[in-house]
Amino acid sequence: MSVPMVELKNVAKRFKDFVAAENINISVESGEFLTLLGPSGCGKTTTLRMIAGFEQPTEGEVWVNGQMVNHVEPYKRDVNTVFQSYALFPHMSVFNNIAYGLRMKKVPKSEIKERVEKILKLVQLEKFSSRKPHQLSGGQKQRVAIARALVNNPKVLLLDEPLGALDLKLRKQMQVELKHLQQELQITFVYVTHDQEEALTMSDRIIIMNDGMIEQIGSPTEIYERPKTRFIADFIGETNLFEGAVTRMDDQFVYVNCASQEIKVHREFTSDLSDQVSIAVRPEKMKILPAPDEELTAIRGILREKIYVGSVTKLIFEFPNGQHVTVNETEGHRGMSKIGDQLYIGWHPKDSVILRA
Amino acid sequence: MLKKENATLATDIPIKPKIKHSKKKINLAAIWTISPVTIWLLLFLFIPLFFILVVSVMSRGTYGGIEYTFTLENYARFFEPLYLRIIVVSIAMAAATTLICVVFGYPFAYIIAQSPAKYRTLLLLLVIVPFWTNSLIRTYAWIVLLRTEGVINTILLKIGLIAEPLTLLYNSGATLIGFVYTLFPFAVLPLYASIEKLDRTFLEASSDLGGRPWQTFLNVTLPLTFPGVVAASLLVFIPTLGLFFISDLMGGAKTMIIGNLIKNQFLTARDWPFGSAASIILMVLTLMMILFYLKVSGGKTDDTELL
Ligand SMILES: Nc1ncnc2c1ncn2[C@@H]1O[C@H](COP(=O)(O)OP(=O)(O)O)[C@@H](O)[C@H]1O
Ligand SMILES: [Mg+2]
Repeated sequence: MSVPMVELKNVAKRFKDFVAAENINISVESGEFLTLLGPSGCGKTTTLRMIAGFEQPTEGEVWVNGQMVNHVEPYKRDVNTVFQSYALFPHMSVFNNIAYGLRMKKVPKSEIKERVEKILKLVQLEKFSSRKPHQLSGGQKQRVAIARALVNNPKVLLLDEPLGALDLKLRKQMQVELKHLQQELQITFVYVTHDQEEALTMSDRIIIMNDGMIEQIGSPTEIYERPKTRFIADFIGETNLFEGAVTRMDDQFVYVNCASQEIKVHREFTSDLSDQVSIAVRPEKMKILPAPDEELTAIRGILREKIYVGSVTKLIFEFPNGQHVTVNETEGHRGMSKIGDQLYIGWHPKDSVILRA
Repeated sequence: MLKKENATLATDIPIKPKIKHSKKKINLAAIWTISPVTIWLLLFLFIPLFFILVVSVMSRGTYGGIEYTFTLENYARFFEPLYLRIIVVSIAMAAATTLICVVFGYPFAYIIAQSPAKYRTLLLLLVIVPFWTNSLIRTYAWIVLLRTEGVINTILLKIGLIAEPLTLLYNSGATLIGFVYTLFPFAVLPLYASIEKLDRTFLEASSDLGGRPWQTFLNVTLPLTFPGVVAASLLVFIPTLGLFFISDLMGGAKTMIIGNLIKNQFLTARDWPFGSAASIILMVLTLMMILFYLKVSGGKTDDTELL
């Protein structure tokens, strides 16, 4: 296996006695798009800043491209950062902002001109090269910030919520742009966001952080379909969670008593087994059934509410134990049920996971 | 990539709202709110200024009074070598004072701005504390330190470093010490304000792009705090021209600056018209500096050549 491009080994960062990050073990492959995802204040920026060199880890080691960089100054590291606020130099034109890194490294003038013009073309800002940052729109500033970092051909690009300040439509557009850029240039990206949809769309791998700790590392599919903790199931997408007690298990299944009924879940989808557990099922994996089904797990519920959200209609059911679940109305079922109906909600055991309660 | 977004730029630029209130209403309101200021300026600035201007083009009476005949003689006198020299010396002294204050004030202000927030107020206070004693008293304190039988000479003689007392007082060096000492806080405060305001992310961005600390300082910190440097320069340069009592007391009246000249014309030579002309010239000099400041701080510079 090749040397990881970025590696954090048992890294911790404390500000006085406040723990901002702890037990951080990350290994980023060359050319990978890795995302740090978590709610605000969970330590994403702190982790990124330790890779850039703006913060010193209190414990552990930071490695970049096979070199331990704990004591290497930021200006000597082979990484570049796209700051959340862009941090474009206000007294310099777009051209000079982008040329800055090359000038610091004493690259010959003619080469600077060539490389800056090439990258300006790549981000479609040729016409704006003599503008000042305050004369640019948010999206243009964003692209200057990316160009300013990319022109240095960094081994790793660190991006701290680079799209956070853009409106929804532009953000979606830039997500695609950035992903293409990363694939085209084959640069390792370490990307920070608190937007789960953004993370799922763009990443090769996602690291979920919570309260300064890593909760799970996995591909977007793994994270979405096999969340390891309740926190993740809750944080990523929408999910129905039922609490219950484990009654028995066999070779294949774990049986949980839940909503006065026994629910079976595949054993392999069990990340943490104790007496009291939660079962997580995504709304889109649930179906409305006319009658109980052999194959599926089914629970009877009363339809309490219908919520139209545009792309789907969400049906809210109440189970006998008072628990509420959300089911996405399928094409085939549209308009067939009304408030107060008693129906069976079913899902395949492979579509549910067991989590610690 | 993102063609659409470029096209929308035009709408991003805020269109200046065309406010068309009835003129009368605005004027009335404006007059009401600014009337105290207007009266103040009229009574204490424009009317005296007008008198000075008028007196400066009058002739001097035989016994020191003002003779009301128009003349430009008072201004012409500034082209006599004696007075030209005073102007040149004044500007040189003010420039030297400014340079010293800014060069030493910058690191001073930088250190205060970088220190933990809880010490910052205290450090700033220490800069300001000297203001709380009368500047004349502080100048006399310097005389006690510097004169031939003063503290410094006594100590140096006692420990045998020198055989003869040094002439530390009554020369332009002493005047310079007095100027720098008096005006140093005027340099530190605006420098501090601009350094403290500087967003540290810009420094991190520079470092991230490979800028070593001194490159970051020259290319980012200094240009972004330049308005502070200019403000500090003005706040030192302008008052220096008028600090006559320091050059009187510490320079032994050997280094004449415009301030001394004006004072002498009014109090000693009793040549009010010439003193007024000197005042007007001082004001014109000051005004030119302020216009220069507005130009520098208003127009954004772009240093194509990075260091
Ligand atoms: N320089 C600092 N001093 C003290 N606390 C800090 C500092 N930087 C970050 N923190 C704290 O560390 C925690 C994690 O911050 P951060 O990494 O910025 O979170 P995120 O980027 O995930 O929103 C926050 O609670 C924040 O207040
Ligand atoms: Mg952050």
